[in-house]
Amino acid sequence: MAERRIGLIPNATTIVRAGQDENCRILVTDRRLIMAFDAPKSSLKLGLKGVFGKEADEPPEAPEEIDFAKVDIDRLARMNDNIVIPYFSVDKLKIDAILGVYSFGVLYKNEENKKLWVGATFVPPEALLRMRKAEGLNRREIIKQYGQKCQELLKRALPSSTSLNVEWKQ
Amino acid sequence: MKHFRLAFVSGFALDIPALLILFMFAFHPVTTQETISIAPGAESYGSLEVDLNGGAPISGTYESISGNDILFMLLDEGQFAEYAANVSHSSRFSAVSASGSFSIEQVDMERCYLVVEQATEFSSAEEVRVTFELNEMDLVYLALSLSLFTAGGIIIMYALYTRNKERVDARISASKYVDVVFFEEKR
Repeated sequence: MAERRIGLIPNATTIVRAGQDENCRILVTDRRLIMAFDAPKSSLKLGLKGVFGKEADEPPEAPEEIDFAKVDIDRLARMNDNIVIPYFSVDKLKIDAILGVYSFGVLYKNEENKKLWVGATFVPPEALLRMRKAEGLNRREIIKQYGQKCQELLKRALPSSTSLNVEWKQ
Repeated sequence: MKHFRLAFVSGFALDIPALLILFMFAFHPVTTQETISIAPGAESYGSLEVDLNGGAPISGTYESISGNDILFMLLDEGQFAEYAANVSHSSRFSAVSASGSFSIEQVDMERCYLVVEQATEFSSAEEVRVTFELNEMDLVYLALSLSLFTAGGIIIMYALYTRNKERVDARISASKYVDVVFFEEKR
């Protein structure tokens, strides 16, 4: 049976590599989570490009340019340094809400059977913040609603076998 | 983008001269000439207290005007206190001659004392001409350099901020997914 897309979390901030914060988009399917990372635009090297030379072209497959509704899921999983978390490898998934900000942590085994932990905070994209603010919502409410939607999406996607190890925040 | 480049280059254009001014003009050597007198007698000595401007290197020459040999010493505060109390002491520099030069490159003292004693002839007074060079800070150039550097830094920060903002805005407008999406794919 083909892998089915359940949804997309358009922005999450995660700490995975060398203690650095990185933004990612999380494609949620019925089999796995795929965390697609943004290109490291904040580096000094990239920052200086365009000052002394031609503006660097964006990578052709930068996450903002990917159509997640159509992209080949396997290709996305193989792309760059994206993190793939199959549900069968999940030992524990925990959702927390601190001061209305939702975050999740996953303990899973990678392909080499090594236990890894990945955490991410559900931070709404800037465009959503602006849009909702224009509708009269305050920042805290927007972040909370966004986090709840992310939680709802994960609830829908995770199979019951994995859900046994999941702590949901109400 | 053009504005960013212009601002970024302008920031550097201010910072580079600021650093040049700091290193080339803000600190410059000042030469001072003093004469130290020594009264007649074996126990007599003459001294000169020199403020090292927080620990600047000092170098210079000394010369006895009569041509007689003298004992020239450069002492720090502790050594000078011991010397004045007539107890055993060491020195940063000492030499016996009618004239000579001295130089202390690595200075860990705030002030020093140039001390001269007669070495051979004690019956008459002696005068020693001391010339020394100290690096002094020029506050006008220092202030100018710091102001230019700060202004350049602010312009660079502003340029980077606007560039980053432009990129974020571009990314926002490029992205088609702004909220959590629930796909409706059939099994």
